[in-house]
Amino acid sequence: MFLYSSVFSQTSKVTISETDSGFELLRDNKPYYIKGAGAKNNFKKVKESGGNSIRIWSSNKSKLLDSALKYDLSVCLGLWVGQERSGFNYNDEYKVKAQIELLKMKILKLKDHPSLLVWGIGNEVDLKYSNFKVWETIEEIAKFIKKVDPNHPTMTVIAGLDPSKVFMIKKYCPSIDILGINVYGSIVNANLNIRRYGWEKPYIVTEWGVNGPFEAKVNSWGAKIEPTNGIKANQRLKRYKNFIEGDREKCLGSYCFLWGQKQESTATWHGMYLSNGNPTEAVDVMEYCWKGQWPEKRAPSIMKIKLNGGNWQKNHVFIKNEEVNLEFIFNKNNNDSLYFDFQLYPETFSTKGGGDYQKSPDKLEFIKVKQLESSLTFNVPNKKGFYRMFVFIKNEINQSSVANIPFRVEGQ
Amino acid sequence: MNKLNKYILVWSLLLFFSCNSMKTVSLYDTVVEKDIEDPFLSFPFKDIFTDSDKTGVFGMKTHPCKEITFDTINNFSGKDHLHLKWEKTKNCKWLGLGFKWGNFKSKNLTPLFENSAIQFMIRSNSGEFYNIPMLFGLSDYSGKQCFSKVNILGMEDGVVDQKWRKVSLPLSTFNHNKKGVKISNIKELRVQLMKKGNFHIDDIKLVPYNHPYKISTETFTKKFNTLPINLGSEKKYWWGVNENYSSNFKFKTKSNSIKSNTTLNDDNFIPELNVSLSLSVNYDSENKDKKWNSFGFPFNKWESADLSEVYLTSALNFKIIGKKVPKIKINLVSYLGKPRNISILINENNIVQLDETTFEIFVPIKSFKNFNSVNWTKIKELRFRILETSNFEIVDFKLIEFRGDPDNPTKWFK
Repeated sequence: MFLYSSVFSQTSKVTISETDSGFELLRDNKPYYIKGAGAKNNFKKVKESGGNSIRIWSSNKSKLLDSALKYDLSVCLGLWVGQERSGFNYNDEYKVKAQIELLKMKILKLKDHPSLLVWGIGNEVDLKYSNFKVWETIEEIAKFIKKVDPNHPTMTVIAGLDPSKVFMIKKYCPSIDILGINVYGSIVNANLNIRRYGWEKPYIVTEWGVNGPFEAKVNSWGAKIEPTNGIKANQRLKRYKNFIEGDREKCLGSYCFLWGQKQESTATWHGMYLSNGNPTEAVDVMEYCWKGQWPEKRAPSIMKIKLNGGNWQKNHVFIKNEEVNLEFIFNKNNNDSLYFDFQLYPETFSTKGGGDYQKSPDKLEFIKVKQLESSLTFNVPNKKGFYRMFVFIKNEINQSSVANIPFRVEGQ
Repeated sequence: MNKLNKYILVWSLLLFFSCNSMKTVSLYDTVVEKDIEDPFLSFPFKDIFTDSDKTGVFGMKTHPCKEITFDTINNFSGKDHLHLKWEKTKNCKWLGLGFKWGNFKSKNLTPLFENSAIQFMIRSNSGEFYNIPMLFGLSDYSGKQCFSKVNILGMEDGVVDQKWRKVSLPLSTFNHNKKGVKISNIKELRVQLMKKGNFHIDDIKLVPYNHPYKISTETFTKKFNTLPINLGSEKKYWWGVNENYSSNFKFKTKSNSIKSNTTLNDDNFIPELNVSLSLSVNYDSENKDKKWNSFGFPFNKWESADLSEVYLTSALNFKIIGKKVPKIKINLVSYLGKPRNISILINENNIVQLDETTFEIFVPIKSFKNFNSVNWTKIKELRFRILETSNFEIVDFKLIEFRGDPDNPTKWFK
C-alpha cells in the first residue's frame, strides 16, 4: 500500500496549453515550469535548491514516488521499455506483448499517485537501433495511458535529436504529447533542431549536463579527457541559461543529469554528487539556476589540473616509479578550511554507451612524497599501465570538487 | 440387321455394360492415416521436480547469500516443495540451483520445442510480484547454456503472490540458437537467482503449450539493386524546411521536371513520381538565422536503404540553378556502424556547367572519405549544409551509375 493512498488522495491534473507565445504545462490549472533533476535520492536537496520535480527511469522503484511526495516534488515517471541494443527483439511478438501487458499493469497501479507529473515511455530506445517496431510499442502504451489516465501527458525520451526519430514518432506515435530529449553536447543546437526536424508539439530536456564521455576527446592511448569540475559547472550554468531557459516557446522545462553518482567512463563524469554522497559545485549551480541566487555556502571549485606542468589534455607518460608533480588550481569560494584527498585508479577504457551499467575499478595504492596546498608530489606505480589520478577538495560541510588527469606508465 | 446396325448394337452394349461396371472413385487419393506419435506423449522426462525423494536437485548447499530447503508446509502437491531464499551481494556473484531432470539423461527437446513449456507452481512468502527474479537455463552436454525468463504472459493472473500460481515458460523462448546450445541433447535445467527473493516452488514439469505469437523477420530495409535511384521526391520526408521559423529554404514544386525519356527504374520511384522537388535557397551567413543552413532527406522514407550492391558504382547527382555553385558540404548517414556519418565538400571537379545558370553536380560515393567503412546495408539519409551566403535553386537529386574517376568525376565533360 502506498503512502499516498492513506495520507493523500488527490491526483494532480496535468495538461498542456498552447497559446500564441507557445506551450505551457499546467498542473491543477496552474503554470508549472519543470525545474527538475534526474535523481533517485537526495530529494530533499532538490527541494532546498529550488527544484520542483525529479525524473526516474523506471517504475520498478515506485516507492520513490512516495519519497518525492514527501518533499513536494513531482515525478516524471519512466516506464522502462526494452532496448534493442540490450538484446530486446521487437520481432518477437511474445516478448513484445508481455512487455506491454506488464507496463499496462504498472500504469493502472500508479496512475493516481499525486506526485505523478508526466509518463516517460521508454528511455533512449532509439540508440543504435534498426528495428522501428519499437515505436509501435511506445504508441500502444501511450494510447493505453490516454484511455485510462486523462490526467497526465505522455512523453517518450530519445537519445539526441535526429530527423528520422522525429519522423518516426510523429508517424507511429500520435498519442505522444511531449518529446523528451537527452542532449549533452548537442544541447547547443537543440532549440534549432527541434524546429528544423519538424517537431510541432512541446518538448522537455529530460537529460542535460556536461558533454558526455561519448563526446569527449581521447588522448593518444584512448583515455577520455574529462574536464575539471569547475569547468563543468560553468558549462552547466551557461547551458541552462542559454539553451533551456532560452526556449520558453516549446520547452516545458528540464531535468539535469545526474543528481547522484554513477560510473560512466569515470566515477565523476556526470554525477553532481561523489560516490561518498558529497555534493559538488554542480548542485550549487542548479540552485543558482532554479532560485536565481547562489547558496550562502558554496563548494570549492577546481578549475585546472596539471602533471609536471602539462595540462589534463596532454599525453602524460612516465617511467615506472617516477616522481611527478600534480598541481591543481581552484577557487576557494570563501571557504576557510579545505580538505584534500588524492585517489589513483586504473583506466577503465569502457566502450559502453547510453548510460549502460559500468563497473567501477578498485582504488590503487601509491606513494605520496610531498603535499602542499595546491600540489602533490607522488610516485607513479611501479607497473606499466594506464592510470588516472583524482584530486578531491571539500569544505567543512562536505561540499566538494574533483578533477582527474590520465597518465601512462612505461617500462624501465 | 444390316452391318451398320450390328455395329451400333455392339458398341451400345459395350458402353452400357462398361458404364454399369464403373466404380466410384474419389477425386483425390485418400491419405492412409497412420498413428502419428505425439512427441509430447512419448517424451519420457516430463517431470522435472515433484518431491525431494523422487527428483534430484543440486546447488542446495547453504550459502551466506542463499538458503534452499525442502519445505513440507503448504505444499502444492506431494510431500514437500522447494523454498528458495536469497539475496545477491558483492560477495556472491552467482547464486542458483539445478535439476537433474531424468537423472541427467540426454533429452531431445527438438520435437517439443515449439509447443511445450516448462511449467511450475510458485508462491511468494510475502508481497506481489510481476517479475520473477530467476533466469532459467537449459544446459547441453557440451556445457553450453541458453536462457529464458518468465514473463507476465506466462504467469497465471499476471501476478505471483502468497497463493500457489501456475507459471509457464515456453521452450521456444530459450535463446538456444544464439548460444549454440544443442537442444536435442539437453542435460539439465538450471535456475539462476537474481537480486533477492523468497519464493516457494513446486511441481516443475514439461507440459504442452501453445501461444499465438510469432517471431517475424522484418528488417525495415529496402534493397536497391539498380540505378538510378530518384531521391528527395516527397516533401513529407524532408527536414530543414520550415517557413514558420526561417525563410532560408523554401520548396518550389517543379512538375514534370523528370523528362519522359529518362530511364529511371520504376521500382525505385517514390509514389509521387511526377513531382520533383526543387528547393529555393536564400541564405545569408550574416543573418540572425545563419545557423539554419542545413536540410536533408532519407534514401528510403526514413527506413533503411541497402545500397551495398550499388554504392561502389554510383554517384550522387543533382542540379543547381543560380549564378554559381556555393560551398556545400554533403553528409551521408547510416543507421548503424562506425563511422555512421561520412562527408565531402563539393569542389570544382564535381561541377559541370550546363548553361549560364545551370550546373550539374556529380559526387561519386567513392570520393567520400572512409566510404568503405560505412554500413551500406543500413543507409539513412543525405544532409546538405550551405556554407556561404548564396541564392540558388537545388533540384533533381539522384543516385546514378558512375564508373569514372572518383577524384575528378567530370573530366569527361570538360
